[in-house]
Amino acid sequence: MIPAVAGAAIAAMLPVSFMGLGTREAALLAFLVGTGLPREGIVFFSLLYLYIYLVGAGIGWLLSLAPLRDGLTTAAD
Amino acid sequence: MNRARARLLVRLLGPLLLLAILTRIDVPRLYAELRHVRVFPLLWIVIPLVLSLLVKGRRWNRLVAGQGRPESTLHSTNVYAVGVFYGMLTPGRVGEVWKAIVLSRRGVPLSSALALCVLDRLLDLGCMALLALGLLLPHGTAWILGLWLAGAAFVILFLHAWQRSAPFFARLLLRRDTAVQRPGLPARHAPEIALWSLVFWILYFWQIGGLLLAAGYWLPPAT
Repeated sequence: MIPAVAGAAIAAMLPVSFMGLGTREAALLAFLVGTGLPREGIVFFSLLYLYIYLVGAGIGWLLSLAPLRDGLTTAAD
Repeated sequence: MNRARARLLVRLLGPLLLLAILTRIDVPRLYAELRHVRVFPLLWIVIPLVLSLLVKGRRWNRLVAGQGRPESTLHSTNVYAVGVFYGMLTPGRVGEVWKAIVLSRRGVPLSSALALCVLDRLLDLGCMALLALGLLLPHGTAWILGLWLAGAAFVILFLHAWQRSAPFFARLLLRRDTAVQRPGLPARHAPEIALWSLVFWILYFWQIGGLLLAAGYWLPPAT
């Protein structure tokens, strides 16, 4: 499972899609189709994957609403 | 066809691929699966997700510190998280170069800052590839420790090699021949960067485990 997820994560980084849509599903199908999981289940899991992206992006969106402070430190952090 | 249109078409390949996949599966069955998602594991996932943002923020902080522009970890985490947001809106997560823009405002040459963004991405890719490869190989009881040591060695060696290759990647990103300064060598922070890179992937797979629970799947280990 972990190599499949790793492969899907790499596929999702390809610059041919938005949020890894399509590429992640294809990679997971390619890796997991022989594990006994139905294809619908694999696609379902892949779509659920979007949740991680969306929550992470939601946190970033909330932070983007606040003005960015300087954040410089005077000494090495 | 101009270049911008061609690029947009290339980025539609993913969604088109998804459509093609959806035409080949039982969509009502997929919908039925979606209706039975367990909510509690999804809520639980938020904990490792927030932790992973903090870990990535700290790693970015260490990379930036290598440029001689120290900043607070909180600030780095903020910049990193906003970068993730912009990354979600753009294909291939190109929006993450936001981090480079913020860095360039502080006097770091844009080319070096962009090279640092590429380094950040390559660290993720490299660690992920290593993890996938390591788990595909036959392993004994000490495989986890071995994998960790290999991962740490990879990051440290990679950071050393990075300083030479960074200008090439920066030129690639800027798409023009420009005088590119080499980014500062973050090698002093390499062990910490290695640590956070590996911790991030543990948190990542914690999230994946949560997703499997939410989906109602928990695959037995391969025999």
